[in-house]
Amino acid sequence: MSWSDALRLAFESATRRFGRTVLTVLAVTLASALLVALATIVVTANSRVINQVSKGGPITAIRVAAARAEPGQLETDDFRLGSPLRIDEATIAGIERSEGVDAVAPVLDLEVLAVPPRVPGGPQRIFERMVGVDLRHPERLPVTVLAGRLPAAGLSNETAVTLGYLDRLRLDADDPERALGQRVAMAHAQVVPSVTGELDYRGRWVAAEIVGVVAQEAAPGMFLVPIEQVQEDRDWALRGVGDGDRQPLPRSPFSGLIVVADTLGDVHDVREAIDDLGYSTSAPEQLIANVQRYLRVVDIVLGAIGLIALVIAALGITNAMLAQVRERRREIGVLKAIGARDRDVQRVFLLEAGFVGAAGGVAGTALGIVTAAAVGAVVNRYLAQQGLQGVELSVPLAIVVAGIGGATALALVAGTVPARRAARLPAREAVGGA
Amino acid sequence: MVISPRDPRAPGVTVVTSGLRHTYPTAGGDLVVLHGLDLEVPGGGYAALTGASGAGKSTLLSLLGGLEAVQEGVAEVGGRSIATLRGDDLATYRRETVGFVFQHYGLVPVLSALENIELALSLTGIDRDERRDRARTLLASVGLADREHHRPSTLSGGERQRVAIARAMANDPRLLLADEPTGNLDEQAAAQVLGLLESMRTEHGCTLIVVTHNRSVAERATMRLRLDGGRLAA
Amino acid sequence: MRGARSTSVIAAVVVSLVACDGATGPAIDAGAPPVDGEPVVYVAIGASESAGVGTQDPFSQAWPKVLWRDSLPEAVLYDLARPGSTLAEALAEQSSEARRLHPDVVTVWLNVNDLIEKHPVATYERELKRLIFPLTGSGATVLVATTPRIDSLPIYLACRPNPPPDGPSCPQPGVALPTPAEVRSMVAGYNDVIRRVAAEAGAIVVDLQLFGDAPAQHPEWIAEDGFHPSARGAEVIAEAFADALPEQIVSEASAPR
Repeated sequence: MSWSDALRLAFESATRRFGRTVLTVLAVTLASALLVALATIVVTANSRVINQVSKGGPITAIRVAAARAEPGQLETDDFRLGSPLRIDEATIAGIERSEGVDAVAPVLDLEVLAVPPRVPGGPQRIFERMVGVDLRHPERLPVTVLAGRLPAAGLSNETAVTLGYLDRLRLDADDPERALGQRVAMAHAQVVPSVTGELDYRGRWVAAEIVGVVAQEAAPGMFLVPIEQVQEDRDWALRGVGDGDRQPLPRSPFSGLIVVADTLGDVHDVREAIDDLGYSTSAPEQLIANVQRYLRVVDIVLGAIGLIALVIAALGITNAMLAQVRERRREIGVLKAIGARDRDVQRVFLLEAGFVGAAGGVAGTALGIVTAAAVGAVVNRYLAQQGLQGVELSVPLAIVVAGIGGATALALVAGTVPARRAARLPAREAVGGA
Repeated sequence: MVISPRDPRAPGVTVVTSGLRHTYPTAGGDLVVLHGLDLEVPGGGYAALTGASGAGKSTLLSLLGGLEAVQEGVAEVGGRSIATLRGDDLATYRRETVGFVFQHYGLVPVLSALENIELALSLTGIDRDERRDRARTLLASVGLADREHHRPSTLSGGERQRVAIARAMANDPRLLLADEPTGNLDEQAAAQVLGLLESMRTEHGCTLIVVTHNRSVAERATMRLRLDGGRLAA
Repeated sequence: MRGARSTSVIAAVVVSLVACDGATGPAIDAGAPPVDGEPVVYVAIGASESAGVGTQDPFSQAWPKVLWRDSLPEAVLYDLARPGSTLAEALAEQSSEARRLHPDVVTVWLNVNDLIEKHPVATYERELKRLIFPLTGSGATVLVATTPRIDSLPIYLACRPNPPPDGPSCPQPGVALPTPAEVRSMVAGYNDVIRRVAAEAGAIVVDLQLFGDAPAQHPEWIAEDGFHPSARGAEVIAEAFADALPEQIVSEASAPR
């Protein structure tokens, strides 16, 4: 019997005995649906969790400090800072040339004197750090916008503030929009000796408008501004003499870098390359590795649950088919009596199992995706109510293929024993009885 | 294994057994069903196998039909030994030489009358269109051309058996075996079925062996072989 | 420490699948196009009154700050004023930096300290030219303040015979001060120079004499030290400068960039 004939016979048997097969198909459907739904939810959740770790920035970001690395730097996620080491355009060019580097974002932070709007009980002035970043490529930065937006790049008179600013001005952290539109006068000093022998502090003043409230990890600092502004401040300060330790001159053109590696796998190598240049680096390698390990455990557990469901469904297939073989003994005997070989009979029963698996797999995969979408909708409604970012369902083609293919394959495996038993039935079953 | 190419002047095959023994293992020990059976049916012959229940009629038929492998003794069909056939060879013998008709009809319930006949033809590898044509012809030859798409459950007993006969004839058998073919049929249907079997024998040149415990059926045959205790009685 | 930290962070991160930091979305959009033009540059040259001495909060109440905040909010302010600076000192310390900054607007108020040190008018004129001409020559709008009425300042009266009882005490008792008439004459001499040099150089005069006898008529404009402008006084002075600013500069430095 050819495969196509066996297929047709199996198909007729499976579909025309619908009542017998529907329960088995249902079992496979539910098991596949569970597995597909779990897999889809897990894939979506994992990417969301991993993204959380990077706090709004690329997950492959490495921070570089304008300082030498202490021994053992690469074994830890945090900075181990040594003596200052200059970062300039040549440093950036050198790192950009390294393997596995996608982009390099410079950071320059300086101390700033800020004069906020007057609020009762609030400070007249704030001594804080102003962090300058390249706002033409905000996607490279570990910055999350909590309210408003990021400042425009270039010499814009705009700034974003962190929650610390709200705290200092006694504003409600749950209502960050209140800070938007406020103007903060920000000054950096040029220290020059005067004829009187004392030091004269001259200010470069910019009135910046708060356009956003952010959480940022580019460098410690309350104000996030375009790097061009800070570079102007630095040039201004460098024309003075500085006042020793209190306001040391910002020698290094950049106070830090954010290096974005191509992939998570490149992070360590890039860190090593930067370490070879002598710089101290920080990257959440261990944290991400730990999170990934944890997620993997969760994945495995959930996967096992789904798999167990499939195995149970498979056992159902085996059981149902064994019963079929018992019931159809005479039919099998007759098949053989009219000339079918053992393996023809085996083929037919195996394909019947395959049909059940495929039907259940298709229905189950569809049901699983719908279920995951429904779960996603419920979760998103909750997140929206809490003012949080929603999740986006991602159903990789691999899951669809695995759902249908896996169920079919499992059913074929489940049908092996019954098919073999059917094949081994003696033809004399057709006659029945001695 | 083709016994012999179709030769209209050589109707059917001879069936010869000698010292045929057959045993079944049971819970209480081995049960000997055939105790050295010798028989001979000439080519184109019409034999009725009779005997009490348990006498070994069905066993003999299943051995001759290749439903079981011969354990001991000589068994030749058309001059060729079937005693050594096993597995796929036995299946080939069943397919190409034997046509079997069962008391219970043996039709696949999920297939239509035509599809049941096509099933037998599908085992030989002829293409779908030819298969269909031949099945139609066979169905027409048993007078059921208008029952093509009927499932067995919608056919009467007699009609089912006629479909079974058409199926049995599908691959041009030389040996037509019928196990109580009219056991479940009323008189009229029984007569029709027997008539069909007999005409198949004469028109297609088969050797016809019918197992029956019905005297009137047995009397229609040209040879009557009575089994008693696994042996041929006089 | 490491292990504990990462475990608790993992827990927090995983739990924060739904309870994260309240992000409204990935910060992909800066939300505004990058700004490439040059901002308006305002340089303040002066001495203690420009540095806000006498106000409660010089960082926000000095008159150049008020001018900047109210009239030139989008400009960058370089505040070069140094308390105690004379014109000569400003030439040595503030002038070159001012020129390097390529300012669009410059305010200059340097006269009182010179007067107190009794620098000759001719010297003043020479130095003023050396300060102003390069600035106007580079295209900056320069606003120069004249000397205001200082002979009725409480601190001056305190050191004169019959000081007012409720004023400040004289910081240097026994020092011989010129008479009010002499003071007024010197002030007039300086102011003539200022007006002449400004006209020659193409600078704008902000005539603080127009306030009249401000110390007498508006005591609230004078700080507690009896000498410098108070916060209110600084506002009034800033207004005077603002009125003198050309429209175009104001609109340029007021438009959001």
